[in-house]
Amino acid sequence: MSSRDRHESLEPFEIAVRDSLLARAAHPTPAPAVRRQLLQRAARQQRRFPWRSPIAWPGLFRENQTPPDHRAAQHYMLSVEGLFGPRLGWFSFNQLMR
Amino acid sequence: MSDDARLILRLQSGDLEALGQLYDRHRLPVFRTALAITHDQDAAEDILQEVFLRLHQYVQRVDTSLPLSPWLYRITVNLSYTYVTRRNKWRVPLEDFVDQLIGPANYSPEPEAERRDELRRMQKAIDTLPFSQRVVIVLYYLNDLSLQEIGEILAAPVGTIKSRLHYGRENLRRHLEGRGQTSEAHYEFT
Repeated sequence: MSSRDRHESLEPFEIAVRDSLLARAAHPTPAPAVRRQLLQRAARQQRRFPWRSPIAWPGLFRENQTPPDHRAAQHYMLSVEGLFGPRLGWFSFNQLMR
Repeated sequence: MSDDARLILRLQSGDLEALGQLYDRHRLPVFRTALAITHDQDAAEDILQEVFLRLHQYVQRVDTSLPLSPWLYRITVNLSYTYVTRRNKWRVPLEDFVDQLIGPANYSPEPEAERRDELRRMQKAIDTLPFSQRVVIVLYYLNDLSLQEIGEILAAPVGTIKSRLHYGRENLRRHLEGRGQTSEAHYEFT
């Protein structure tokens, strides 16, 4: 049933229910600070967890790099920075493995 | 491809401005739903912010071939449920006490005042509904969603949604007629 059909078929009691909900929702709007804080928190989230960030995953297997012609087969090398974030490079990873 | 889908793709590639635009497009229905369920403006603003923060966090899982609104409503309802259950643990029914004190003085024979009083009594009655029924009443009458759409948002069969709507209306009638107790078992929200 479309919303228009539904509106036409509402009983008086249902109209009262709808009107009371609309009356409560009519005036208040979220404060402008909510948007500003949201974008700040999202930016912080993106900086703090770069491996979870959307921009970290593309290029994880260096799929955008075309292999040189002299290679017989394409090697999928894992980018450690892509997995663990920029602070943990190959050197640190090597240290961890010892 | 819809505008939402384009914005989601931009957000998936790390463009935070797309998150701002998605917020601008959907903030009012999300905020009003949270406000209608929680009856608390501060909580509704917190829930609104949290919903879009989760959209940013889980944007890679969002299917751009599907509409975004049901996903947003689902997160809104889940966060509202968490808020309401936590609040009910600690809340003292102070509002009821205050209403009893100021009720008779508020009485006015004017039609406009009577109308306002009716709306206020209905709002109070909606607040007394079990959460599962209140959510269905809000999504059906305020957000104008069909039973099918509500079923998809709450991950429940249409028959269950229809039943909750029916008992929700019955309980509102009972409450307004002063018959007290809500009918139907209080199902936990799923």
